[in-house]
Amino acid sequence: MVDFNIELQFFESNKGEIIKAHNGKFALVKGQKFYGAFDTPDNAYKEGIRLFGRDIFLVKRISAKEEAHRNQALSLGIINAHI
Amino acid sequence: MPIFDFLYRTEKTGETLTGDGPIIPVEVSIPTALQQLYLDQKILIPSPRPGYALIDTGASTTAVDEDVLQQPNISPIDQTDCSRAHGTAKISIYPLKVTFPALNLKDLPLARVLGCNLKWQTADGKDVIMLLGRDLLEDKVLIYHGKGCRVTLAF
Repeated sequence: MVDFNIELQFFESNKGEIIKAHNGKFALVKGQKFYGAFDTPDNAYKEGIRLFGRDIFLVKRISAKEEAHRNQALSLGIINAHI
Repeated sequence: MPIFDFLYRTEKTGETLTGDGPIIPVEVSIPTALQQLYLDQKILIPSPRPGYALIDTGASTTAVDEDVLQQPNISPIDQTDCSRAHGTAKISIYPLKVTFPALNLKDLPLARVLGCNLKWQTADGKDVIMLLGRDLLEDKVLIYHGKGCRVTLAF
């Protein structure tokens, strides 16, 4: 799994400030640098590809509430069971 | 409003809707921005990966088999925690582009899908590579007609 530790730590440390200025947008972060907030994740990704090519970068939703994904099949770990 | 009817019963396979669920063909490709980078760098663009998507109304977010995402070198852009029966696990989030040939939907950008381990084949050998979640269904009408082995999608 790709390691986003540096980017995620940076985002968490600066979250308050980023939310205040860009709530609801998508942040582009690489290393310990914030490269801007974008209206859509697609636009943040495009800019990330333009700046970093195939290198790893983080596109994070800017929100006080953590993004929630509720996938029952994945949560239960039941994709295929023989009963 | 285009309406698409899918019948899950043939003479050869019998009724498959209960056993396999509502599946529709899908092709997974690299995102347009990455495709453009490959073109600029004269890197061969990977072919779209065909398979089947299971319509999963229990999933808030569409998920794709991680092997399908890693073969064409799509890098994740984020990660999230996922609660599972055996504890919390990190799941990667990927951007990609999908085509649903049977719905006439081509090159649909999906900015945030979950990478997961699907590895699942239907009884008649179709590879299911995607759980099509409510994020993709939010602008569609879905009718599940169990008795008639039919599913209708309209949008």
